[in-house]
Amino acid sequence: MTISRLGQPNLGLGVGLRSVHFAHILEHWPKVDWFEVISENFMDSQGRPRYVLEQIAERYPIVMHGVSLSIGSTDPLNHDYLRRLKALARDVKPKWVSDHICWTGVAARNTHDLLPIPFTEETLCHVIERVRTVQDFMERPLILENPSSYVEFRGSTMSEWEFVTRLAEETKCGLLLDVNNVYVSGFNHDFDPEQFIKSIPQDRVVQFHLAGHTNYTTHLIDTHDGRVIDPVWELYPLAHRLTGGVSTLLEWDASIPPFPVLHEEVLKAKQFMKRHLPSAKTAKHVAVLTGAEKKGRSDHLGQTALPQPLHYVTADVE
Amino acid sequence: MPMTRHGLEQMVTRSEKLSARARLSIYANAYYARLLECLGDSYPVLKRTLGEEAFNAFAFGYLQKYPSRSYTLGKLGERFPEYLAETRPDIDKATSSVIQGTVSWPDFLIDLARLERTIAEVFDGPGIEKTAVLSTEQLGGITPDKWMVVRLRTVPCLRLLAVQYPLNEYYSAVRQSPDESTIPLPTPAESHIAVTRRDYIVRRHDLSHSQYLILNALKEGRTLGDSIASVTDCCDFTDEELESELRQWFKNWICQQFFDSIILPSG
Amino acid sequence: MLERSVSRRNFSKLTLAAAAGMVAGSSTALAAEGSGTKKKEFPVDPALLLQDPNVCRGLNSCKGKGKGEHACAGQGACATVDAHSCNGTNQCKGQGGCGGYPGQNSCKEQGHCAVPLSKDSWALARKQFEHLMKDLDKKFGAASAA
Repeated sequence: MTISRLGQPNLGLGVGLRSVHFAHILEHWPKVDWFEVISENFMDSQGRPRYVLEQIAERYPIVMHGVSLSIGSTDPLNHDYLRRLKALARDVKPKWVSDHICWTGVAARNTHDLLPIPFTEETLCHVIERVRTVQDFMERPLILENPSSYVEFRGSTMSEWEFVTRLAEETKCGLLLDVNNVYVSGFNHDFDPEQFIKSIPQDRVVQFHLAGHTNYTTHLIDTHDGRVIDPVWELYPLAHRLTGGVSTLLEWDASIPPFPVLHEEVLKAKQFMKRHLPSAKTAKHVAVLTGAEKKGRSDHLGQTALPQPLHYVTADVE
Repeated sequence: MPMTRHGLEQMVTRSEKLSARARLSIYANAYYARLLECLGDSYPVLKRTLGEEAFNAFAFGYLQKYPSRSYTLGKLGERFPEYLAETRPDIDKATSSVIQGTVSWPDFLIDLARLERTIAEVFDGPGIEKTAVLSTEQLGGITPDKWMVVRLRTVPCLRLLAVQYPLNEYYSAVRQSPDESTIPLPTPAESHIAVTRRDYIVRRHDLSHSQYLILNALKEGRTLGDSIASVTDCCDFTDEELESELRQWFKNWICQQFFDSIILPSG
Repeated sequence: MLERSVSRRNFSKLTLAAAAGMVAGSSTALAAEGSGTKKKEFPVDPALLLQDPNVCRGLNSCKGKGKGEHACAGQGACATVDAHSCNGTNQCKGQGGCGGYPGQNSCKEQGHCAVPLSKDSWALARKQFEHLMKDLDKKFGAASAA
């Protein structure tokens, strides 16, 4: 028997902290419940990003979200990286520290992407051992997220949800359920996102992610460049009901709107929380292009469509 | 290592709508697209100068030669100026030295890349916002006979650049103009720039050659007397003029917080 | 040209001039701080930075947040060299990270980008350089041999 959310609080509805919003936040101190920050953007900073974060961390709950842990890689764990991550956590005092179930590179090269893991007994053992090592070093549980993926390996012997479930049970790590990623991967790999959400151990889910994606008809790409699309919103009540409600965060990383638009988008979650479990038709969204998606797609034509993550802070120069 | 279609499909499954190769290419495309964009954001003025096509050609070559080995994108462009210098067309392959003795247009691009990288490093590197800079009390504690032998420690964010074009002005012009406008390329002229940070914002200051020499000598740890001596045989000021200039320069440098402490020789 | 050997310089005097400049600079900065025209944020109290209306020098200084003319007044005391004001299109704060690159279809096949390889980059750069110079009616030399 596990305590819900690993005993972590439900922080409410938060947004990802991005440097374009620094000025707005410092001036208006908006009434947002919490912020998630990209660890790598701050762990080495001795300049303005770190200074801004210190001030924001004084006033809002913070969660640290990393993109470079590379928990699935066959390269040794990067201890320099872990030391810096721990030092940032010591200073910022986040509610928790998260990263992704993925690998980012091999042979010391970093692709700066979240690459998928083959789901086998061997890889599961490998990841379990590494999660334990990291948790011991960090002296806190890791919260791990399901990434969006675009390929599946022939050698996989289990589903992604089985892999995630066994990983969480063996390591006692927490889960960051990215509802949009479940939808994107479900579309790309022809599985039912509801089955994923229903199958994972809900009492280990500490946080949700929501984001926009881009539909390329044959596949979806996790671009984080727009509003959350309706089929993803329709999965949210299910996740909310099964977990009893957990901290929810909106990510928006390209074509980033003004802060109030961003905030308004995540507040929509309140309406969806009240909804009952959606009818069976939701599953059909997996295979068909909905009106909302078509619209989303035309909005994106000719624009950037980069799979996330892409996180780089540009300098303030006078 | 190229992989046959069969080999690929042995490893990666197809989906209902996409082949294994098409699915893998999503990652391959994303790799370059993401990193080219990040490099472009790291070198915005160089990218505007070159145009997207030429910039991306360099960036692509750079990523081939120096793929990222760091967990942070902050270091992605670290060696880009070095890469440009290595691949410049007027380099003698045998000796690795630049053939022409004179300044040529590749110098402009390489210097511009150096300036942008310096700005990025100063922006997020160590600064003086939370530490004390040189105070009136410290200055007041130096007796007149000691000034020749004191050393002024420069702040950790102060970087000095000697470049072959008036780049500081060019950089400002590009930053202040609309994205699509064309900024005149400057004609070559040796110039010197101090890049530093105050209140978390990167500041650029033009320096004369003499100012550069003095600051550089101080940064290297030479005494105030020696540092001033580094300009005496290269500038045409009379003693009186130089005195007046030095007074003004050092006043400005204190205001601009170029130094954080004054060190007396031990013993 | 005047002959001016190193030995003719009076270093002691020159060094003292530099020292006098530093003391003057230091008291200027101090006076400015005292009179309130230049608020010294650090290390006094970083929080003040955000409450003071005169905070252009601070974090969101250059975003043109309607602080108008006096937004950069704090710079006055030291602005002998850098006369930059914080005016600006948003140059003080880049749009971080994302947007603009039509990425997805730049590559035809896995691992084979349509982007030219590095040996051609300088030729492209030269083309752009010549184009810019011609635009401005400037003369330029022939390209050096690759």
